[in-house]
Amino acid sequence: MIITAKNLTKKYGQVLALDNFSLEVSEGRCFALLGKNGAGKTTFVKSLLGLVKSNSGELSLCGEKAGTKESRKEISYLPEKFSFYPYYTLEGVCEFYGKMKGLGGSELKSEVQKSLDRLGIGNLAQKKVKECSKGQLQRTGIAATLVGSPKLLILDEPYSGLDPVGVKELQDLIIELKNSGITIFLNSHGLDSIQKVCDDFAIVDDGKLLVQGNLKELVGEGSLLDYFYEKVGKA
Amino acid sequence: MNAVILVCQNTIQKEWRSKALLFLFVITFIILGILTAGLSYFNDNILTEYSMEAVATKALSMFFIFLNVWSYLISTYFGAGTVRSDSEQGVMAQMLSFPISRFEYLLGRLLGSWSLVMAYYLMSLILAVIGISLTVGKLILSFKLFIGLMLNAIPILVVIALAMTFALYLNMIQAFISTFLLTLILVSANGYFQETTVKVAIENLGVMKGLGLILYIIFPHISSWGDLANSFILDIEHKVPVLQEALHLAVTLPLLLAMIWALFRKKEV
Repeated sequence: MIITAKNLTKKYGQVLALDNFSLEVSEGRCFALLGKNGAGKTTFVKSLLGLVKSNSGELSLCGEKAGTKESRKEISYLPEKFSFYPYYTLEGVCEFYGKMKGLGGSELKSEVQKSLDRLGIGNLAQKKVKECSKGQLQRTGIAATLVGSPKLLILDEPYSGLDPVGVKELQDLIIELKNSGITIFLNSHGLDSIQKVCDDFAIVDDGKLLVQGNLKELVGEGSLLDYFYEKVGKA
Repeated sequence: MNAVILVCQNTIQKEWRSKALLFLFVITFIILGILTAGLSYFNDNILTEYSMEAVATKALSMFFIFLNVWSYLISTYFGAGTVRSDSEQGVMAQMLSFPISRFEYLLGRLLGSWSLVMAYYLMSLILAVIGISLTVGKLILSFKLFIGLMLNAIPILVVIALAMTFALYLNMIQAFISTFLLTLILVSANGYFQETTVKVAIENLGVMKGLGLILYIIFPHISSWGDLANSFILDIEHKVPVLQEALHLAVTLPLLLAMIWALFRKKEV
């Protein structure tokens, strides 16, 4: 398992953001954590990255205790609203990400070019962040996360801000990445897009895990949106 | 260590690009211009009995006092700004998602801000020496100037660290004001207790005096190091017990940095 959470509890004051939450994500799969706004998805991702500390329970990432420097060595994270210093070029953003992951020299250069090309923004390498459209910025964020060939990609609402063409291209890219062996953890409420790319999913509501399993087994040929509504509506 | 250097470089780059440093240089240049113009006027029209060298030293002293106060304000601005902008722009979460510890991130930001303020300080001092030397027609460069500069690196580091701490919890303006007030209190406590004996310090210990004494004991002595730096630059005698202050700094500075780290470790991003 690349992610394991056991009885995770996180409180913000009196508000229970995660309530005895347990989850497992297998390597090489595309996994989606689904839930309404405020259900606990972002808190879980933040716990994984060590940005917030859980009150109790266990959480491991890539075989290491989540939140440690070691646990983040082989992962990449794309926040919902990707932003970077406006004066950086797109190439500069990717280079910075690569350097922070310990890359350098010719390896860094080739990784950056490869990532930008993969996202179809190789020709915009010298464009500055402040000159980018929302979609271009989102692509840059994804390109930056791919530098250094991570084992696990954590994408927080990756479809946010993308036009329909961008959504389709991102779906194709996620499938391509999954096929290349990268584990993808999606945190989203864009259910139609999720259904096209995910192998497994879990639904969280009010910090509690409602269901976790294989998409085909649980939903079959039906609609994930209907399934989600049925589960969350009844909760 | 590589991560610390990268964050440090990034800090310098982001603050340089924010044009704040350029603005500060322009202000400094204007002040220096006024000072040298005044000096030139005195030289041509008024001075007869004083040597020009003595006046030039006085002018440099005046500029140095301005530079000291200004550099503390700049330290507060960069210290608070570097952490606050990361937090507000969502960059902190991204930075901390890299394989980098919170300690490395904080140290990189601290060293980056420190390097910037020290670079500004050095450049301003060089500008002042050139400007005043050209006006009086004699090079007024002394090695003591640079010892003073190095000594002032200590209070600058402390002020940056305090500003960064406040910026973890407060917005930019609140952090700026809080740092300014705390620095003022520390300087006042430093000034009062430095001059008193232990007996006088602990007698009639009320709330305010007690608080001042605690701050005097646990925080690095900003004004002692500032005074020592001034004494080198202005070439005057000092009353600072150097060894005692060095020992105090050796304990309190790591303690201050450890406190910031402990707070930042618990900080939810």
